[in-house]
Amino acid sequence: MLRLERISSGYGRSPVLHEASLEVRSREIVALIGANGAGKSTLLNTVMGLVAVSSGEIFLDERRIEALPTPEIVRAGLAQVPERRQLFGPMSVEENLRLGAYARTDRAAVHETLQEQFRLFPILAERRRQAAQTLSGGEQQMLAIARAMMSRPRLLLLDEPSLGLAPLMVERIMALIRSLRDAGATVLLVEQNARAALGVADRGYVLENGRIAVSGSAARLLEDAAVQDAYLGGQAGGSRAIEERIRSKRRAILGR
Amino acid sequence: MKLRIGLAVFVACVVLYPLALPGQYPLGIGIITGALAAGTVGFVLLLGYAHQLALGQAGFCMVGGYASAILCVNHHWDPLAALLAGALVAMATAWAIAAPILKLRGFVLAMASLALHLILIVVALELPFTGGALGTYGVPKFALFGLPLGSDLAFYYVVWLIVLAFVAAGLAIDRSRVGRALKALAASETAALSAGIDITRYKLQMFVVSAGMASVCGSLAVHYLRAMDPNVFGFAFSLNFITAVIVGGLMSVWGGVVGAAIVTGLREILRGLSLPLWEGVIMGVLTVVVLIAFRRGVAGFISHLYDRLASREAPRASLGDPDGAALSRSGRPAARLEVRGASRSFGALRAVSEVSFAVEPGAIAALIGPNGAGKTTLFNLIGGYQPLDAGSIALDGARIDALLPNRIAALGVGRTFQNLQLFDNMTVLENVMCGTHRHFQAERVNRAKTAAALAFVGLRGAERLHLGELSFGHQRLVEVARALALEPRLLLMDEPASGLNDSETERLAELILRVAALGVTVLLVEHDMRLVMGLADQVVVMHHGEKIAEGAPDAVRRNREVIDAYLGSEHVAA
Amino acid sequence: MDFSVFVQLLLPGLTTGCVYALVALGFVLCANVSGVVNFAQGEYVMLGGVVAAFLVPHGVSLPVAIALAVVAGALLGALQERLTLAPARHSPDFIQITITLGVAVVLRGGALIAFGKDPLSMPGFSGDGIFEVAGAAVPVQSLWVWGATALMLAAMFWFLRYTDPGRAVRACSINLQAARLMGVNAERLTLAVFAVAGASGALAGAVIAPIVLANWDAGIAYGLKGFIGAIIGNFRAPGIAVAAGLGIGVLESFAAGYVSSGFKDAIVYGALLAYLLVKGGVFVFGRASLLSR
Repeated sequence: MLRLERISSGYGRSPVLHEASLEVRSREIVALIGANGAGKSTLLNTVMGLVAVSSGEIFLDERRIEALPTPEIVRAGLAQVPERRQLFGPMSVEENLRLGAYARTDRAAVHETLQEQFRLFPILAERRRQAAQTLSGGEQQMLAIARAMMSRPRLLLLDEPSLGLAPLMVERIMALIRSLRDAGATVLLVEQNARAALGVADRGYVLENGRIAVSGSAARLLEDAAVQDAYLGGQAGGSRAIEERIRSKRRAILGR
Repeated sequence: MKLRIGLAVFVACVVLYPLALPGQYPLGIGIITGALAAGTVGFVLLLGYAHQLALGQAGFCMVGGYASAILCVNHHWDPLAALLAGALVAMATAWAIAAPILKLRGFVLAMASLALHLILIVVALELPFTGGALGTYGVPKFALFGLPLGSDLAFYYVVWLIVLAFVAAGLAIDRSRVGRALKALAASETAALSAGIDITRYKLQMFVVSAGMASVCGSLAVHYLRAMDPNVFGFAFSLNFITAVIVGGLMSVWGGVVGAAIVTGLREILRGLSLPLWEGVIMGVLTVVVLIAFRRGVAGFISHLYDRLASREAPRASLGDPDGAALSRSGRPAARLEVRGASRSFGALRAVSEVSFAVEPGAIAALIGPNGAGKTTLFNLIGGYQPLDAGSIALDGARIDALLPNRIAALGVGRTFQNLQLFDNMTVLENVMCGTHRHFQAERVNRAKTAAALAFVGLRGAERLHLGELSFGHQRLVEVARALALEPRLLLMDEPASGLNDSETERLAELILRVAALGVTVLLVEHDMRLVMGLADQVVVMHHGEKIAEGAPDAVRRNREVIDAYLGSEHVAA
Repeated sequence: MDFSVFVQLLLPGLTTGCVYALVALGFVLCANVSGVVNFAQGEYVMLGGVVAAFLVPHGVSLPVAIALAVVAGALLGALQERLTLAPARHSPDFIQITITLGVAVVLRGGALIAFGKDPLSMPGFSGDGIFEVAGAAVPVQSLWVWGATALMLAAMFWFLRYTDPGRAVRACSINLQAARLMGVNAERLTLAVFAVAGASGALAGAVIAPIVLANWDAGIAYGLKGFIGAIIGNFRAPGIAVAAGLGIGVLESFAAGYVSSGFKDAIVYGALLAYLLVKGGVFVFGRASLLSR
């Protein structure tokens, strides 16, 4: 459904992604993991049109979307649950949800979608008039996901949903994501918490310093030492070589 | 060279004008233009350099005007003394108003100065000692040190001499350490603070100086008009200041002079065409157009033309390799940083929770942790950009947690920023020279130290380049050089490898090692593990705002808790 | 204190306060959606009054004159955003603010040329009669002012609370990036907000013109007093800005009545200065603001 081909992008003066390619097929959960600063959020923001693409293409089915403005991309069927939720704090739960449907042209059906979200997330129905910022971390994450679902997306992009959540809540959110997929959704899940993400995904990609370092089935990646490398460096590969060279320079210059 | 031409043109215009346009009326115009120029030169310093929009500048003209009128007419003071008295009162008032208000956002000062001006108008209308609505008249001609200036021509020259003096003062400020500090704060307040520049103080200084010059403008005008009443310096006059400076050119004091001439000239032309009412619209349109299309104004345009015509294609600067010997171990020893029980919360979120660690002098320490761990907040606490809720931060035993960033910088703490906070209105040389701000040393010494810092990082030859001409990696080096020019005892680096490719990252690692070899303690926040694990003596790991591990790189990377923090705990894999 | 004097001062104060409240609201809305303080806000009020007061004696019927004034306000507001702010969107704040000042100057100057130096008078919408409340005489036109203001405030609050574009405007001021992710077109909304601010300012000016005489120079005072209201609401809360605007009107009226009409402006502006000095006396914004940019 979604295909990135050799995408390079970045913010202003600072290039972040280097020729990253990945693919998300219909009705699957794809995890994109990697250390901080690797470029995971940048990749999602690039897909949503918030970051300019310097080279490469993005296809949604067969349609090229990398140059489209964000409202167009939303209308084409992509929705993002941003990092750290980015809810409209002072506005109520219901107002936040309605905003999620802003780009929709079938206004009449919005009410129905709203009821659907309330059925899926009863706690949100309970708190519908409360200000979003008064909700707990887990509830806020659910609201953020429901808000994204309001636009009836074909592909849901999740940016670090586990951020700031207690381990128990993380489990619940991951289970929720799996049930969304079971109901027919397609998900691209960006996570720093590799084990949680790979535990729920079908396939995964590992992003390291702006490049796709490893990819494969989620089960296989869970076992792969290369994943640990991507976060803490050290075991093998090109990053080890650079680390070694730096260490030897250290011995030469500082004598320790 | 440009300066000499500017001065020559200025003198020529001033001298030739009364000859070219003889007669009482044109001379009067010349005098009024001069008086206005005295004020607009000061306003350039405020609006163009310090980026403070003030809407009530004419209020200070009123202070000067009334001081001269009342003191000379009612109390028979010497005009020069009255002028100085007026300027002092204006400056004191400016200081009293602006000192507290500048701590709030800038545009608030704009409205506050307008409010002050309107209050002064009411005071002038209502209070008896100003002569009320009729004002004070019979103001004598100006006198220089007791010698009355009989002819208008003599007064004309005196006025323009004062303008020249103000221009000279403005140019001197521009070239000085203060001028550099002003340009820095205009480009990036955060970076200016990190270089030890007290931004509030300089904004205040410019407000006070411009108030004094506006007061002189008022005094001179009143000695020409021979009368003063509340209508002379109304809101429209403040607008004249603003449009004059913008159209004339924000970036240089010459713009003030050019702008004064343009505004007065335009008014006379419109009067001649019997369209005096069009002045407002035309000035407004010119202001908007200049701000959108060519922000540097007429003076800036002329200067730009001069540069284009005068420049020969400079040979592509080839940058020298890093010269490790360019900087030597400074006399002062590296600093010891101690963080004890640091805590900071934002509402319900505990961003940093009881974090304690120490970095020994000369060590390289790295602060790592997953997203949302609180590393950036902790870094900002150390740098003084955020206040602590609890705990302490000490540099060589002395607490720094209550200090502002520029004070911490002045103690010898340098900083680089993840998203590059450079001054893009300056050349590479000027950027790095800003780092020398905390040392009150001669410019010659500043320049030498700057050159050394640039050579050390490998940018020898880049001095005259503008930032846009450098690659991102080189721009990063400029920031490091700026921090080195500060002669730091502690260097804080915020994700220095961000945006760098593999070879640039290695070169950066080598640079950091050489900096440590100079006797500087280094603390970095970093995600790039190659850099962290290769460079660091000591690694501190944060997660959910707490410190979860500390130790040598290899120990930390094998630490179960650290691995779980990054990868996620085992039992979550459902 | 004589009660009828109190009422005699309170009611006209509320009347002018209505205009200040609308200006304050205009400031807050424009600032929230574009990040810029629009110094031309007061000029739209001036224009509304001057256009309406000019057209009526020239044979244009009252409702049409008011409608034209409002349309003029909306058009100029939209033009201001499109021609002067949109191109400068990436300029530093102080440049954008100075541009709005330039626009204010153009509007003042334009009004001077088009409508002349002298204040223009306008007949009250339902005559120039007065009515009595608790022993105080109040012009009937005041009812029009209160009514129009209440209507506009209600319309704006309804718009912001219950319509999709209104929610989008609020969303933009809370978190622009997130709003974009919802598919909100921030640029188009900014244009709409400026047009609405211009139109509401013009309507306020047209409605108060029969009471205070419309004149080309009136914009600064409206702008500055409305600004005080906005600043007390910290440029965030429209409700507080409106209440503060009303308060300023009342303060001004009491100052004129109990102290002296000559000093009323000094007292109002003095209150602004005092407020700012007190706020700045403590290091209010702390270090957190030093991180931005």
